[in-house]
Amino acid sequence: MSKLRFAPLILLLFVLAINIVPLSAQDPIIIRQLDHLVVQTPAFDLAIEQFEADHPGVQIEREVLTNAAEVLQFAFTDPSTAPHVFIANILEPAQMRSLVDAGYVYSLDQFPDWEEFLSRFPAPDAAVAPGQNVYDDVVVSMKFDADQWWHQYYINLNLYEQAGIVDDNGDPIIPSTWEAMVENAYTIHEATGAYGFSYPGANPGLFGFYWWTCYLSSIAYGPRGFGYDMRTGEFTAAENPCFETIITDLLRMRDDGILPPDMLAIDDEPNRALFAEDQVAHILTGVWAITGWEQTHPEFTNYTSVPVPLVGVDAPTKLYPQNPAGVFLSISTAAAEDPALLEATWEWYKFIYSEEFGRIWAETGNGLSIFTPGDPQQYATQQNAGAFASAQFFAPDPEPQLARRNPDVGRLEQTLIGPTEADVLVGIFSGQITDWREALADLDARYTEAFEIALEDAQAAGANLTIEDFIVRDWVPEEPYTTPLEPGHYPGASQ
Amino acid sequence: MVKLTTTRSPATSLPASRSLARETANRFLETLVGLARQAITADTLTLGFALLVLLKFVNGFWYRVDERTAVTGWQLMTNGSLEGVTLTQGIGAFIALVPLLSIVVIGAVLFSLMRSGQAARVPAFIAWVGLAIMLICGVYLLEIAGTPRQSRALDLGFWLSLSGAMGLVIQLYFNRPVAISQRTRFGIMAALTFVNMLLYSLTLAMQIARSRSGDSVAFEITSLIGLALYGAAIGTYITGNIFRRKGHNPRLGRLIGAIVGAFGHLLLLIPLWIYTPTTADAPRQRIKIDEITWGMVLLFPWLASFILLTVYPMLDSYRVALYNWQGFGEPSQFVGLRHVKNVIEDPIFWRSLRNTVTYTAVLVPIQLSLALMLALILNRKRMQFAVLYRTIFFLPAVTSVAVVAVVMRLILGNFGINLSELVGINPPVNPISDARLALVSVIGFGIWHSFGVNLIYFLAALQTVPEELYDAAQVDGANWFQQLIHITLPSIRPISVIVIFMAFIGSMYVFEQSFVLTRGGPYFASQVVTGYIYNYAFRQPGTQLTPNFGYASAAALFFAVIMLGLTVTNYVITNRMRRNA
Repeated sequence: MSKLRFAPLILLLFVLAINIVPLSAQDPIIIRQLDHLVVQTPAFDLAIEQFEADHPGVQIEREVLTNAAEVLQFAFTDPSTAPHVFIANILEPAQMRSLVDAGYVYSLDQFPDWEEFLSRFPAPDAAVAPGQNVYDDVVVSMKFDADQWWHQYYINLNLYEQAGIVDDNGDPIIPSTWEAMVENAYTIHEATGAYGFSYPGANPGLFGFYWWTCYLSSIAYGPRGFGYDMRTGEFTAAENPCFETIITDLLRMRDDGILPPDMLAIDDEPNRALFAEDQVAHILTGVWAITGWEQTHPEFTNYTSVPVPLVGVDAPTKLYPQNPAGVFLSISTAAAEDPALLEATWEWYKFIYSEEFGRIWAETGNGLSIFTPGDPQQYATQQNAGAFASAQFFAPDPEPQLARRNPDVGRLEQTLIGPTEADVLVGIFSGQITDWREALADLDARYTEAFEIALEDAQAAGANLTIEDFIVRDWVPEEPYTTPLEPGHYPGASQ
Repeated sequence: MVKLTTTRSPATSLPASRSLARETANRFLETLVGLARQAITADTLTLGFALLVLLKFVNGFWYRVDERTAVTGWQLMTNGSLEGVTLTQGIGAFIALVPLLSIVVIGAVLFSLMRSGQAARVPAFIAWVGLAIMLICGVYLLEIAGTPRQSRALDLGFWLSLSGAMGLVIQLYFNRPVAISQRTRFGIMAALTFVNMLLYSLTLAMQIARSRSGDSVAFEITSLIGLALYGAAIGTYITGNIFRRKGHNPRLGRLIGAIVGAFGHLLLLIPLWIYTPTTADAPRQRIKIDEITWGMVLLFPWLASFILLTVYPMLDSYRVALYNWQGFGEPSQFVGLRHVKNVIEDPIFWRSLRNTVTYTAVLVPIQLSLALMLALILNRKRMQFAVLYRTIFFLPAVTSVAVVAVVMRLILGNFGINLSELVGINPPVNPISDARLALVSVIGFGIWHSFGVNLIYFLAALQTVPEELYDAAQVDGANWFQQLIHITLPSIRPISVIVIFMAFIGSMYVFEQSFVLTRGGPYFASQVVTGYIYNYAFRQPGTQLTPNFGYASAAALFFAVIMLGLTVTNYVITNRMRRNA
């Protein structure tokens, strides 16, 4: 017994010791990545496997969080757990700037082979732009995605066939306009009893994506909030004819039983399940839903997707914004603590921005990266057709890039007091808002006030901003627009 | 009408007398703190975590990493079962709320204790509350943890809840009024702790050996708390015995052991160990030292951490309320009191406050009435399977709110089976998406989920009522109802006041019940103030807005002012009730 009397103490000391013993020099280099790319996990798994095989002694530890943006607010406070690579495309410009100000972001142009890396991009001269992926001379990230829009309407072809919405060959007739889609919804409901549309009303934020139905048929998607008209600097949601159409249709379909009566209790995943189980004809979601259905409803393949339809117009009145200077992943200064780690992190970063990963990305059903080699159409399927078709609505510089004129526009921190547009939509659908036009007018007024206050705050904090920085009076939405560089903001800029 | 006499003895003289009330309160406090001490040092926590680890170790099929992947117990041990869990949303709001709740509760109870001449119990109470808050924080962080599939966080919450529930079952079983010796308790505690610690340290060692120790902030927090607890418990026991055998002061040994074991920051276990009275040991061991001095010395570590981790963040959140701040770096856009002004002028805030007050006003009386009625039933001596019933009624309270609310949302949302059709309601209604019913559903869920806690409080209170009073009443011919009115209710009245006070405070800070079940909707129909704060602290999906911790902090600040007023009013009323008791 006496020999054992110190055993508990030794055990205790052992436990304490293993918490403070540093890793030996032979430990592998571990690169920590934090992102929110859940359904893209198979692509990253393949990439990590290949990268680790090519780089013995290097391990990638990837943490995937659907709410990565919120985690990033705290992720860098502890250097021992801070990510070395992190997702940047979910951050607002003001948030990204704060990360730079706090010294958390490693500037990509510090790497010796930066110029060679930059030459990989289709338009190297335009791939780096202050206010877009450069803040205070720190190159925070680079563009990754090719020009495919991220959400589409998905169409259940089983229901189309059952309702007889087919051509002479028996192929479903795919609608290209909102009016046709709504009409099909009624036809399907009468013929099959299935619902024409469903939106995840339990989550106001996701339900709010219903507004995006008007994306190609309206200009009210300006950079400063819902309903913003960049030509005048005014918020005009209440006067938007497209919004009037889709609200009227939404209420009519609700009253006619075309929408699930419990729609405000349905979340995103159940909503997709209803679609895959032939209970709903149309839903609005992203390309990631395809991977989800492959897991939850592998037998369900008879569906397709289309870009958001035209609402009351014959041709798009607005195009998807194309920008050669985008953001995707960033490298943090936590990686710079060890030269070997920094070098390995950079190799991993370059691998993401390579043709090899572009191929993996496309083959695993995530659409195209700008590095995906070969003919893009070889990756198109019936299911992801909408994403590929959306590419036709991209055009070079289709709308003004405000940050190109003045990078300080990213310093605007705007807080809307009261219901957002998503909340208003729930209020309208639930019957708590009876005068939707007045509600949208109130929303316009609150956005205007929030914008003006945010501008004053930014000016008081030293931002070189005026209201004119957010107005582009010579913009014609139907025509390509090349944003001029303002000499006052870019030394030497002549364009 | 039977008139109860007061001629038996001074100790059992009169129902509803001051001395009886004080004695009852004393016994209640002793019971509560004694149970807390047992739970902390030996039973619930240790058993819960031991079962958690053991279940994970032997169970190779139930733990899902995601929809397609299940891992074996050995994989869990070698790869780290909690991998990938990271603290996330809600922290800002939580930081703002917990300190307020803590200060209000601690201040009120401290004041009460000092006024009632029980200053000696102050250190133990502070220590107990401090540890409780830390544990709540830990569990809360895990509950809200985000994961690749989020189901992993829910899984984790489920396992923690299940293990806690199992630990509770065992504790309730062993905590029947059977006295065990101090030595036996030491033995049980040490054995459980050693087994648990062995498994726990093995997991950690494996993780470190595989360089996976940095996977999860939440895991590290849990590890730290767990190790500190185990370390403190073992250190207290081992070094205390060593010192005693060597002829030194065993209390000094316990102190050193706890410091080594807990890295100092959980020294609050010491005042617990020294000051809390035991209910099972006879004769009771009284501390002969200057309790106040010892208390102040031993309280210092806790006070330091309280100031650092609670007071400072709270004050800092009030500083943040003066700025625009999206959560990164330092706030730089000073806006003064504009956020507070906007909160006051926002009708949605007042609607949220009205919902919160409604929630409290409806929940508290119904829940406490139910809890008291069930406690009266379960307290009957001849009640068969009383322990089983207690456990069943308490189970919801130890089950994760988030997990249950998600399931409830699927059930009440008519996803799959339409409940309205099932029970023949025509036209069908949806209890969570109908604006008229959403708040009712949240209240109903709240009543069901947490009434078990109050049930335990009332049970503890009922068990402190002297049996002699009932014997006397029976001799005098009082029936059950008369005993209830003239003995039971007056005797537990002081405790009931505290329970009402606690239930009021807890209900005003309701969050998960509303957030998970209805997301505060539809269109704010079930929005509560904490949800309002949360929505501004984090990005609002579907919008192009920037999150604003400054505005959220201002809302929390204004709500704190309102709560302060309500709490003071509540305290004055309840204190008057206690004095009248």
